[in-house]
Amino acid sequence: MLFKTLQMVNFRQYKGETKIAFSCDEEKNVTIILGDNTFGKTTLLQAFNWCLYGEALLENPDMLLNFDVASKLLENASTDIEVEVTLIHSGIEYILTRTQKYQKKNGKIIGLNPSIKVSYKEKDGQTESIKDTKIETVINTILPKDLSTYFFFDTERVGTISDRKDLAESVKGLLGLSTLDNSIKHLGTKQNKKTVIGQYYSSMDIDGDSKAKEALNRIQDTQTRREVISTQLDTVVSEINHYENRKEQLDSILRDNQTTAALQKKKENIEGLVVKELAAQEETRRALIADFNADSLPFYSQPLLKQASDFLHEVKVDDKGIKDLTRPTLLDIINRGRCICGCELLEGSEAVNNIKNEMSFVPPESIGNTVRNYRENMRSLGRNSDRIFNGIKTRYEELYRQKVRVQDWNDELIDISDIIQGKENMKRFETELIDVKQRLRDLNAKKERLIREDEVKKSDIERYQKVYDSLVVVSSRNKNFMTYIKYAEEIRDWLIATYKEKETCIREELEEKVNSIFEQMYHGHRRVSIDSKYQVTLLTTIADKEVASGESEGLNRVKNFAFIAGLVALAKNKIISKTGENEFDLSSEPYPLVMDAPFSNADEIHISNISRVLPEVAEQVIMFVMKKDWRYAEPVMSTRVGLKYTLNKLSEQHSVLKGE
Amino acid sequence: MFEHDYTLTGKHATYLKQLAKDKENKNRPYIFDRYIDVYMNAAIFGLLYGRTAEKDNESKDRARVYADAFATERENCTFLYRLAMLIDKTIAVSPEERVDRAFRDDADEKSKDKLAQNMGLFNSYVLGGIEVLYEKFRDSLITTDDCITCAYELMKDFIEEIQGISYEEKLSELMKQL
Amino acid sequence: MPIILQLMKKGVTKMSDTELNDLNDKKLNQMKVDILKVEQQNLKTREKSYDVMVEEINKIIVAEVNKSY
Repeated sequence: MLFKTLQMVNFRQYKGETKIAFSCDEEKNVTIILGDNTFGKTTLLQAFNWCLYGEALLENPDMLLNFDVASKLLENASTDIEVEVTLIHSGIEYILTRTQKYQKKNGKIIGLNPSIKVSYKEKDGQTESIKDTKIETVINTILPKDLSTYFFFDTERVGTISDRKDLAESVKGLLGLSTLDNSIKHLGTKQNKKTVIGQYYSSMDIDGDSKAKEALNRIQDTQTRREVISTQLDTVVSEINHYENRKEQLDSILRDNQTTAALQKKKENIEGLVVKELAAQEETRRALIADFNADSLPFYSQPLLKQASDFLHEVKVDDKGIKDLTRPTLLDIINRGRCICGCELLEGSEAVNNIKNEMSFVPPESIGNTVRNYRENMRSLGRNSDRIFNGIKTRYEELYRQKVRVQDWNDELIDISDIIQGKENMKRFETELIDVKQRLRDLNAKKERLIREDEVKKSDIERYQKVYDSLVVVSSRNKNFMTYIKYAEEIRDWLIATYKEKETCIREELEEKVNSIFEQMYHGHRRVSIDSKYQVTLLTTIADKEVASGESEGLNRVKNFAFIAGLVALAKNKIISKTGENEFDLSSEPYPLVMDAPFSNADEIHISNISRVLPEVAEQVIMFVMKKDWRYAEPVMSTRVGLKYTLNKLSEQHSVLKGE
Repeated sequence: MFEHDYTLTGKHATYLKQLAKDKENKNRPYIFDRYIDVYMNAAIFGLLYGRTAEKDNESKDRARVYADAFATERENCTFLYRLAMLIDKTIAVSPEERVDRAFRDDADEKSKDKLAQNMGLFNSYVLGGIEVLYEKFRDSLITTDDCITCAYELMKDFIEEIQGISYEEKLSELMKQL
Repeated sequence: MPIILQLMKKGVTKMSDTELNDLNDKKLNQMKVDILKVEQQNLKTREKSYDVMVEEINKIIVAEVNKSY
């Protein structure tokens, strides 16, 4: 299916007539509409929606009339809004026109019921219109509403597209499995009385044997109940999954938190060490200064002592006297009248004369003693220089080491503080974890209950079945029904087998296709995997094992794009099923992609990758792009662009579309 | 000798106070514990650098080394005095006169004038030494660790010089760092 | 004797044990074609509800079984 044109009259901010043609060229199959947010892109997209299905997902959807025009309406006057879409489907050109009248009544603008007209062009150029009653049918033939949501691409929805539960159904539809699936469902089972086979069973006459009838009723009621349980179970399981994931997230966050507690402790330890070391530092300093004070004199005197010593040596001072003996001392002894040895000292005696003689050898007469003393002092001071310096050096180096230790510890403390600060408040996560665990307990209990109930029901059915089987009477009427049943069951089994085969095949093909597209958009060691519910997971290979990996926003978008692109690509393929001689074509029509701002939030590399892949994969691409994103997409896409438009916002109420 | 207080004036007083521990502000960085320590070390440094200085009266600052401080350190001070008298060459005297100056003048009652002159010479070395000390330590008086590093570096360079380092080696080492 | 008991005597308890004609392949295939056709059609038009479809298929099978050719 290809879109040809879109025409709007006074639709929201598109005042007056706005017409846009879409490129239908095979090669240049891309139409670009440039414009920034709030310029009117969403509205343009919703115009499609409104025209086809009468729904506009916009704010204030009951007021679709342009405000400027509305404000000029006079009382009781009316005006129409219109959106017309022309498209080509199965070789036929269709024109769809939806119109809505707006009237001013009692000062208020009221929209009346919209009406739609569809016509198609015959090969000879003649236009035929389609009956009103058939219009909805025809539109659904062209583009069924539920599937349309996958092709009218909305930025917000890119993130969630492959998370939706009804995805499986729609994908099946897209890939042509719905026919098989539906027919299997319709044929049904004997327990389900709404189905063909169920009805056949129900129709069987059980000759007044109320027990058998009762048994059948029970069977069918129980089956219904089983189906309900099954749905509930699905919900519970998915909720459990959701909470399990959350629990894992929380566990990992809190595990990191335990590291915080350990870090905190470490921090305190180190702080203690630092305090001790600082005290030790102070002590070293004090000791160093004290040593310096004590030793500075002898240390620095060395060269001076040498000089003095050399000088004294040259001068040859006699030092014949007795050490520390001075003139005053001798005078004292003489005056005492008695010598140290005990001898009496009389004036004029030989003893006294000897003493007086000695005086010439003591200071101040003779400085020999003094000099001798001095020399001895010098000698004793002289030996210590190296020792002094080494002592100081040792202390100095110790001080340095202490400082380095403290510095290192302080650096470590800063690092630890940073790490701790980076962690969020853990309290709320702990609370949430408790809650999540409780929920999991409840859900698991519920799951158990449901499973048990289902088992009970299953064995009930088996029981009733046995009763029933043993009581059914083989009347001729029943014989017919049994024939029908046999055929029906045979057909159903064949359908199931075919379906399984095709479904696996398609899912594999889809996965392969999605992966090949994904690779083109993203270069890295990841792979996409699609499960039976068509949920898409990203896998990374870690140590030879494939593990579901976390997804960044950008990566998520690329994954989803790849998925859509894969779906579209596959939709072009046919599924062939052989039924005797007839080959039954179960394929579906290829669809265009109408995308609103597909690039915002994707990064440059991804933008250009995505732009390259999509036009190759879809029949027709209509893209709304922000000017800033077009910068990256243009170089890659320009060869595929057939038509380009620019959206301009003149005012809140007025947007204009200009072609190039 | 060394029986009375000794008062420093002007810049020498200021320097002395900076180099010594401040009893009021105990956390201020310093090199020497007591004024007397500064005095004695200054004598050495004055002699080492052959530097004397006259009393300075430019500022009104004052610092006093008390008599009991001298009493505690009389032996050392006397030693230093004799050393100065032996080494000094600024006053031209014969070797014998130098010896007398170092050992006799302080003991002889008759040489009081000479002693006064000698003490004048000694103290001029002290003042010169204070200037040297101040110049060397001035920049490091900001933190205790700076003082310690400065004192250490001084000692290291001094001992290297005394022990006799190869200047060639030192110079080429320095060249590498530049 | 009620037929039920007759059958039970024979040891017949299940449908598949009863005497029935073997399935006619041509009829079988024709049914498949007809059913799939109607399913496909409905996929496009979405006109018919579940119940209606069940009814349709029901009729297809019955009609084909009773066809004489």
